[in-house]
Amino acid sequence: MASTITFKYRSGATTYTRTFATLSIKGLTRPDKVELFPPLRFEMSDGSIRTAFKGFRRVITATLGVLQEDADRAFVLNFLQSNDRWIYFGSVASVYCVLLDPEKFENEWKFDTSLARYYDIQLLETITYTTWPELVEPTADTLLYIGSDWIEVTGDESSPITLTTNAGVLVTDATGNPYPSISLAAYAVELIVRERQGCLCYAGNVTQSGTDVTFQVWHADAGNAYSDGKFYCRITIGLQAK
Amino acid sequence: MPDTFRLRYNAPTLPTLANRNAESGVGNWATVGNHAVSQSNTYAHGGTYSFKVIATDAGDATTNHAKLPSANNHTFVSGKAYCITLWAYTADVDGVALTIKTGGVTSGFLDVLTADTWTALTFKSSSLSGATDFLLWASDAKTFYFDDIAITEYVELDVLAERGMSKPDSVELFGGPQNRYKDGSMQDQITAFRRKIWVDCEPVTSTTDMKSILYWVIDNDRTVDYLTEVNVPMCLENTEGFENTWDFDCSLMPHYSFSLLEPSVRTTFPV
Repeated sequence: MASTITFKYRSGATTYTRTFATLSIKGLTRPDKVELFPPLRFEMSDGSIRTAFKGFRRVITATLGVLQEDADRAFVLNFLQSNDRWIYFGSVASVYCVLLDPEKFENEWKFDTSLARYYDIQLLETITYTTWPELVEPTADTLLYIGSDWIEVTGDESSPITLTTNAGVLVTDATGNPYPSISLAAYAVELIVRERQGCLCYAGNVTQSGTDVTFQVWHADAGNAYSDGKFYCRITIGLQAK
Repeated sequence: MPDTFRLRYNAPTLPTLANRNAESGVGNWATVGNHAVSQSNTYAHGGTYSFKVIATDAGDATTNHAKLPSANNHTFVSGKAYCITLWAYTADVDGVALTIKTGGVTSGFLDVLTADTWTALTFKSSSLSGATDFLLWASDAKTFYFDDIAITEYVELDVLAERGMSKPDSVELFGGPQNRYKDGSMQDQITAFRRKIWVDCEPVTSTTDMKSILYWVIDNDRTVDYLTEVNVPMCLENTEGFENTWDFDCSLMPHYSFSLLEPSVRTTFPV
């Protein structure tokens, strides 16, 4: 079975997503290739040498193979030229990336024919690790929680605000990372609302919006606003595999 | 049967074993029953001192042994593969058989068969767990010395080819600049060399082993065991990155080759 990889990038306030079938993905789920950091080797006057590594980052090679659709090729170009790009592998693992070669990109014409434009995308993860990052996914027994930062809730029940993951005030989660793809078909989704200083807030039903989810949030007529006179809450999205 | 290249590393969370050598005195090593522990400068594997143990009779795991209490000990994580190396010495021409117990596991007899030679005793186990006492005892009444205990995690790889470690195939020379005099004569000032080692290993299919290789790569105190050499420090030739090769472009065949430099220079070939 072919594996897939989802490329995402942000342009302005819009997040673009496309999933590609891959021939192979090297370095993402297994430690095939890493960049060492810092790449130093000290040489002492007595001739002894020593490295001083603090960690590593993943070097990820996604071999997409031949892309025959113009739209796919255009998406790859836009993905490469965006400075705010990340990839998904599995269901919820997001990996922010930079380009291994930020100076150029070229596809390969297999058999020297323009009909077989072959794509090999090489990416470097932006952050470094000291231990291998395990792919954590929600299962029936394991829940995944994704928290948000404080959100201003401007409307009451008669005029709720509509929130969508990866857009607007939920463009990133509380850690600054994009939200994962959330499929209501795959997960039971529960919203947990935490009010700020006793200003009561509520969340409505969750609906699917592409690979994201949408829901409404409002504050109660009762309760006290925060000290600045506004209503705030934090939304935690809980996922459990169905 | 292929030779084994054992990569030994300090895992990111590996705590340090206290009193691993005798340079700071006998430390927290305790005499229990008929095994008396002391510091000695008669013999040493590294530095000036070693631990001397006088066993007046056979030891055991309960009442007669040299003991490093658990508070000074390594905390073993269940399921990980650990390799314990201890250097031992005896002047007894009959040699000595030693036993280690730690992490809830007792080694078999570890023999020091040659008198007047430091011998590396290696105890490997994937069943060690918890923070437990480190016990060491002799099988009969003997006097022996031990020094330089190393506890590391490890991964073992089967060797396809090796160059430069067991034979002087490739070295990096060390010394002053090459002098060229005004009469045209020239002179080298080479004082030492380091081994340049290349090891080609069979494909590694276990993700756990692949992670172990990565942790070995990023550990600045990485060592290897190969043939008769034990716990030999190694430096990477390429410090920028590390990559396996997918044989036949197949992700099921990640193939590992290592280009290494010995960290210290030497004047004689070690093997």
